[in-house]
Amino acid sequence: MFDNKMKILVVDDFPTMRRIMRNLLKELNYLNVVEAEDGSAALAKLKGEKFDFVISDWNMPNMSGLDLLKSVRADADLKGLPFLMVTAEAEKDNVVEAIQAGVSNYIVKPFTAATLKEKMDKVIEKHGG
Amino acid sequence: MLEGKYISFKLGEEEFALPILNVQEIINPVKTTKLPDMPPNTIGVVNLRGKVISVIDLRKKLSIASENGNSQNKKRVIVINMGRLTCGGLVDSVTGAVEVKKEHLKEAELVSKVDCVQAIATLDDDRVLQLLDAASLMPATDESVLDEDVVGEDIDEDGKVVVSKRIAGRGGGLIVKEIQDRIEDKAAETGEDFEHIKDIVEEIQVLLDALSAGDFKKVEEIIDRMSVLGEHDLFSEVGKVTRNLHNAIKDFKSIIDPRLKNMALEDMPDASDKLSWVITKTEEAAGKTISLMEKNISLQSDLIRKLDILDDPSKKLKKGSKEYKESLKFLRSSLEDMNSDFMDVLIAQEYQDITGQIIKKVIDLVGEVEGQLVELVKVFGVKIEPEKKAKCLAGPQIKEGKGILTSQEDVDSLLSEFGF
Repeated sequence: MFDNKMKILVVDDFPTMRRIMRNLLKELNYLNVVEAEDGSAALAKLKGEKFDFVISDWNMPNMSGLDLLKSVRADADLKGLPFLMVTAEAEKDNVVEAIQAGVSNYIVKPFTAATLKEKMDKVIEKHGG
Repeated sequence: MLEGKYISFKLGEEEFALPILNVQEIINPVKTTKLPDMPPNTIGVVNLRGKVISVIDLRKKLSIASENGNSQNKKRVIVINMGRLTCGGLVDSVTGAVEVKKEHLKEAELVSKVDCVQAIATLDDDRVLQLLDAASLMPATDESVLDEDVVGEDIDEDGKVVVSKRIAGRGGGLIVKEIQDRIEDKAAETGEDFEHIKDIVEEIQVLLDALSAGDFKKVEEIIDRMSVLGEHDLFSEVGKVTRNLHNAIKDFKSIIDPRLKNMALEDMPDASDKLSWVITKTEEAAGKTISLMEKNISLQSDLIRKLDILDDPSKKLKKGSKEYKESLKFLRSSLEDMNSDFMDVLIAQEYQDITGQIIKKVIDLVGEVEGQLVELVKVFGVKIEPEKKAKCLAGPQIKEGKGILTSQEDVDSLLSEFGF
């Protein structure tokens, strides 16, 4: 299921960041990308249609990326979903908190296309893709 | 007040009377001791059972012509008491005790030019008595104030002068004056302010006057007033505290005014607006740049495709052929478009100039607010314990420090510890 056609949900409150992510994913040949502007919008989309991968920011209004992650892990249908956190929150406690909440991997902003590719490949590998 | 029992006595042809309450005793004339500087009416002092009293010649005191052949053996000294003051009054003879009733009385000022006389009483047997005011007979120099137990003063451990004195005298005026002088001396000596003590002493004089006049309503009033004066220290302490508070508020105002008010009311909202504007500008620039880059990335693939056509050996395109020309034309115009786009991308970065200035101003403002807050904390002089920071996200890390992972490598090493 983890091929180039997989459906990716990009969650970030900044449209610029979403566009950059979309372009980076396009560069990595992932063209099936859907955007959401915060955690709650993302959760609604995740419950409405099937996604294969989530790339989420942490610090967002309404519902944070961490809460989104916790909700995903608590949902029977979604709990196995690969969840990549891409965030500026770089304190050790933050990373540990995300790990404990069940994050699939963690990217610190600012990041490069190479980092994104490496982390995505790692997650896909781990999830048996 | 005037009616009551009196002791009557004679001075020449005139008959006088003193209230019996003011008469301590009647003694035979004794040898007096003359003191230097005695008032003219005073004959001298005598020792009456250990107490030194003045003896005054009531004839002289009341301006009655000198005696002419009156029997010496009838002369008596009436020991007159007024409060704690005592003096002796030499009279020609004592005629006895009489009861003066209201109907006997006439107002003194109508009949007498001597101010010691309070009233004239015409008794039932037609005897005319001049009723004397005991207080007015007391000599101006009261020898009893020489007694140690009457006047005393002390300095307590706070350096305050405590005047302990059993006040007596003609309305207390004499002693009050003396105490006030002492207070003034002490004040001049120590440089302290005893004004409130002097006020109290003045009140004591009025109190004594009122007491001797029997005006108890006034006595009550004075005691009330004095008890207020006694709270002087409390009032002055409250006053000091109030003044300090007032000054503190004034200082406080002078520190926070007027910049902090401007900052709170104008600068901060202005800064917020400007920062929002910065977000808008940077977002616009980023959007524009990304759009141009997206366009050129796809153009790039078109260019590569065109190059592939030109470069394809199987097609063997002739230089003059139509397809060859079109491909070249496309490449040229694409490069021109790319150049113009890149210039646009370049220009799109100009936001940095304006946003940089705005952010610098906001930084200055934040610095100023910080300074003002530090001043406020100083004014309060309170040691403020930093509250445990509410759990919130720290955002991008710009300074290295404990617990801060500055790079993806740091995060990765942490992740690997957790088996990622």
